[in-house]
Amino acid sequence: MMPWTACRYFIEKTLLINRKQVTCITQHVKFSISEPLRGGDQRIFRLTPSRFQWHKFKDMFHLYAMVGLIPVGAIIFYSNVYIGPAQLTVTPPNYCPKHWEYHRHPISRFIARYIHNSPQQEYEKFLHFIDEEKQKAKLRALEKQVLSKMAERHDYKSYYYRPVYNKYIRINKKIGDSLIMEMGDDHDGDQD
Amino acid sequence: MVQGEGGPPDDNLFRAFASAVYNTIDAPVTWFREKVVEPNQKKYPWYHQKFRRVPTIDQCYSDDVICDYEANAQFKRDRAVDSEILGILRMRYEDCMMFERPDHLTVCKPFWERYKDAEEAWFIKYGDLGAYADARKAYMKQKHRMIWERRHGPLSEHTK
Repeated sequence: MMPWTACRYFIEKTLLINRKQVTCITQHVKFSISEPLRGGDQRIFRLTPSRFQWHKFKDMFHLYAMVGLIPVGAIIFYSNVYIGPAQLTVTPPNYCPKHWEYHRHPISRFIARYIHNSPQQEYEKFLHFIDEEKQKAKLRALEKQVLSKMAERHDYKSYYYRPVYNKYIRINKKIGDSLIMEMGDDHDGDQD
Repeated sequence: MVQGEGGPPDDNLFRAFASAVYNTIDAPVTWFREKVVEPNQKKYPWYHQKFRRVPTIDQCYSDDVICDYEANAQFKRDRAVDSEILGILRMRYEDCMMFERPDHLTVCKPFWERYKDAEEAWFIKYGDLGAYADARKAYMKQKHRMIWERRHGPLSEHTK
């Protein structure tokens, strides 16, 4: 909105300005509410109630009738009288109707044909979109699972960096744990 | 207002008067339609869209969102169609009732039976699922119903 207002301001101030010098005429004026009797050559300033609302109403009515009522009414009249609604028919075999041929009124057909995308296209676009989002969600869930396992086992510094093969460390750790379970963890009596 | 296409002129003054009042509006409109509108209208076809059957929710993997969405769309279409069928059966009964009143209870009984059966079947499948009904929710409802029936016996003759 702002650029348009600035544009209009600029145009009015520079291009549409009236540079004519108006000579001011001062004269005595008689104020009157009603029509006076004809006589004298005095100027009369009519004091009447405001007719602004009436003029504004006529202006707006004229605008909306010319721009709205008459063109749109003409389009609707033409499409209903000279084109008319479609007849429901059985789909011929081996014929795939276009997506606008599923509408009855000519204006709906026009909108479906030239303005909207076909419903099948929108459906398939949406299916692709949710599939892609689902793949992203699966990847994020997998990453979360891996990180939680890393936090639980403390065997990897990070999942993209493998300094050693932790498989053997895990096996050795398991063996060590089972030995301690069997033999106990009292090592002071080893040096005999 | 029955205008009719001919036959002997009507003697009934009241009916003639009522028709005359009706025709002050109707006759110009009918004339306009028959003489101006209909000759100029083009004749071209309009088709009924038939959707292919897609796998239902019980045939989908649990993490397959595409299958889920398609099954859901099919469920909503099926529910709309079944609701319309139910409405048509209801309209048939109501027309019969309004025409046959006051002995509609005996004369319209077949319509009533058929409508009641259809209504019960509709409710078994789609009823009580709430505003955000889903194919999955309907499937779970069926599962719970089958478990209840296993424990307590058949629910109604439609579920045997």
